[in-house]
Order: sequence, then structure tokens, then C-alpha cells
Amino acid sequence: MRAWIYPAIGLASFWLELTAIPYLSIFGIKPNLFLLTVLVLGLRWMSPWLFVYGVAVGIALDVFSHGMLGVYGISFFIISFLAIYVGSAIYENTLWFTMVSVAGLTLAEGLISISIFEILDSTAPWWQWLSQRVLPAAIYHAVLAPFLAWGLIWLERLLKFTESVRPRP
Amino acid sequence: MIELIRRNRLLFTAVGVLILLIVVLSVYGARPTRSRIVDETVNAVAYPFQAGFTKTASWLSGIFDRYVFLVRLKAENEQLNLENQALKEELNHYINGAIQFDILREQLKFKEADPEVRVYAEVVGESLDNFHHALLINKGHLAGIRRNFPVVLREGVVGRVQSVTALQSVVQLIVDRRHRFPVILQRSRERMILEGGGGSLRLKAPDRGIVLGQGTSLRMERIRMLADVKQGDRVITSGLAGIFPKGLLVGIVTGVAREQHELFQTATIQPVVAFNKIEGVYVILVDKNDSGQPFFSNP
Repeated sequence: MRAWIYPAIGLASFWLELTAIPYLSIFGIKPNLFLLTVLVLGLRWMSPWLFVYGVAVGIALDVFSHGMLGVYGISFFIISFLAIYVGSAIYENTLWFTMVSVAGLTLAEGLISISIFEILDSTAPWWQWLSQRVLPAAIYHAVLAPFLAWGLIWLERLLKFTESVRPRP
Repeated sequence: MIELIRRNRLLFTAVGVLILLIVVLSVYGARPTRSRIVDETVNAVAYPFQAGFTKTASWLSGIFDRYVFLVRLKAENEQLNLENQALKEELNHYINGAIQFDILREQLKFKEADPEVRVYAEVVGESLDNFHHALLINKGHLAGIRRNFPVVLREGVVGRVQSVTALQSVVQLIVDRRHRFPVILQRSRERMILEGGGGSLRLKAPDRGIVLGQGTSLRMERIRMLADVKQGDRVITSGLAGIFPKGLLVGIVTGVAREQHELFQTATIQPVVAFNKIEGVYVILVDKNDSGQPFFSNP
């Protein structure tokens, strides 16, 4: 896998996070494009560069949200592992697989990050965040994931990627 | 051993990175003020892209506004002409009022003093996650902004500066659950502590009452039964914590609930700032009651 694609995807995600994503907010829930790209890239590609990408976008997210460095760095790192594992263990190039696995992994990432927040601050509303933020975000991500996956498949065809890429239709 | 490491290179690297991240979190997470170098690096790397993205987006938006959406211009123009006439009449009324006000003010020798130095900054982004409430503004160290400086709008309190880099700053909104500052009820002078509550605000009464905000409104909980709280009460900053100057408006009490069997009363508060519509903010550099040094700043 060509490594340059990760910074390119990261920058594109950053651009969309700043410009378009705030308009996609539904009842205060915004899709997290950084997380979505980590998940879809992990499910579809098997590159170790994903860990670097995951940590980098995680730390960027830390800086541009709460300022406590490392929370999303750790959760994104773990989730990139899980995404690659899920992708290699049970990958299916279907809509349902993408939706269900992205929803599940978003839930897992949410659980990890809010648990770390709770370790750092015991007053963090763990259950409220899980029910009112993480679960709706997981559903939202599940809806958006197929579009991102199609975009990625289009990119693979455009750039003629073959290595480490899972079979495509 | 070396062979084992070589065979499981990826696993060992991953464990190493994870340990490193945990160390970073334990060092910086507990004391966010120490994370400035990393903050500044990430900000410095992101700034050119971010500034470019923001400008591109506003340029594209300008093109749409100026050229593409001209179709409705005629009808809008007629509507605006009507509004203009109505406003002219209203303006005339206000001019008369303003002249009378000036005369009265001179007579009373009222002197308007506002030595606060404020910097206007545009909002160029918002918190990227769903748990925290922060805004990214386009002014930083170079404009004189430091950590914990208060951020306000004409309507009232917006938040405080969470982190600063040379060219931009992150503002933590008062609705963020990590935010906590003392307030008073303008009418009854009841003192309370206001704290954020995940998309909302929580207020703690002197007597240990807590206020929770929900969405765009706020809710005060566990206010002692004898506390004098009424609908329409204005909640203002008390100036006690050293971050916000005294007297800035935070919100208005819209309802008070008292249950016979409860030990405490609950009040609902409507914040005066529409946090989802903020386009620009003022950062106060010098407190009007201060000797010139900003409040609790960690430069």
C-alpha cells in the first residue's frame, strides 16, 4: 500500500471536518470522519500504516476537542487494530457487513474513549455519553460507511491499488 | 529472543506505541497545561491547511451567495424595500430617544467607562468530537490572548480560552461539562457555582445546589428550598473565580419547580448565547477591575 494515501485521506477528512461535517449534525450528533476513515480503511486495507494514521488523527482530535492528549490517540490505535482484525477475520464485501461492523467498532471506540475520560475525570457522565452520543453516532456512522467504502473502492480502481486490498466486486 | 521480536515485529511495535500513548496521556492528560508543545506542533502543522480550507469554503460560499442564489433577488428586494421604510420610521423614533438619552446622561454626569481591552476573533472551527464543546478561533498569542482569558459576546458569557498557539486558540464553552465558575442571581444575590454538563450547564447553589443544562437550556438542581429563585431571574457572573469579570450575563431562569416531598428545588435556565450560531467572539484581555494583569493566566 502506498503510504502517501494516508496523509492525503487525513487532510481530506480534516477539510471536510471543518467545512461540511458541521452541517451534517443531527440533534447535536456529528459524524466523526476521522474515525470513519480509520474504520473503513481498516476493514478494507491491511496496511500497518493505518496504526500511524489512527494515532495521528486521534491526537489531532484530542487537540481540537478537549486538549487532553492521548485519549483518542489510544482509542483510535486500539480500534485500528480491531478494524484490521475484523476485516481479516470475517470480511465480506457487502453493505450489511460494512454497516454492522462500522457501527460495532464505533461503539467499541466510544466505550474505550469514554472509559478513559471516566478514568481521568470520575464525574464524566459515562452512561449519558454512551446512550446519547456514542449509540446515535454508531448508527449515523453505519449509514455513512457504505458511501465511504464505495468512495474507497473507486479510489482503488482509480489508483490501481492491488496490494493488501481485499477482493472487490 | 531477537528472532521472536523480529517475527512479531508488528505486535511489539504496537504494544510499544500503546505504552507510549498511555505515558503521554498520564503525563499530559492530568495537567493539560503541559501539553503545549504537542498542541502547538499539531496546530502549527494544521494551521496552513485549516486557514486554506476555511478561506476556500468561504470563497465558495460567497460565489453561491452572490451568483447562484440571485434568482430570488427581485422578490427579496421588494420585501427589503418595505422593511426599509418601516425601519426608517422606527429609526426616527429611536433618534429622538437617543437625543433625549444623551441630554439626560449629560445632566446626570454619567460617565461610561469600559477599559476592557477586547480582541475580536472569528470562529474557524468547532470541537471535532461529540462529547466536548469547544470553538476554534483565529487569534492566538500574537493577538495577546493567553490561557483562561474570558471569551464573551455582547449577549453574555461564551467560555474561556482552553489552549493558545501563536495564531489560533481553542475556546472551551460554558456548556462544556468541564467548565465550572461561580455565578449569582442578579436580583436576590444568591451565589452559585455553574458547571457544564455535556451539552448543557450545571449550577451548584451556595448551599450545594447543582444546575444541569439540557441542550440549549439549563437546569438548576438541588437548590436549597429557602433560596430566593424566581422565573425571570438573571444569572450573572460573580467575578469570584478570577476568570470572568463580575456582572456578565449567563442566562435567565425560565421556570422553578418545587415539590413538597423534595428537599431541594429545581430551576430551568435559558442561556443568553446561542452557542450553535456563534460566528465571532470577543476575548477580554484586561479586566476592568484589574490592575492590568489578566485573570488566572498561565502564560
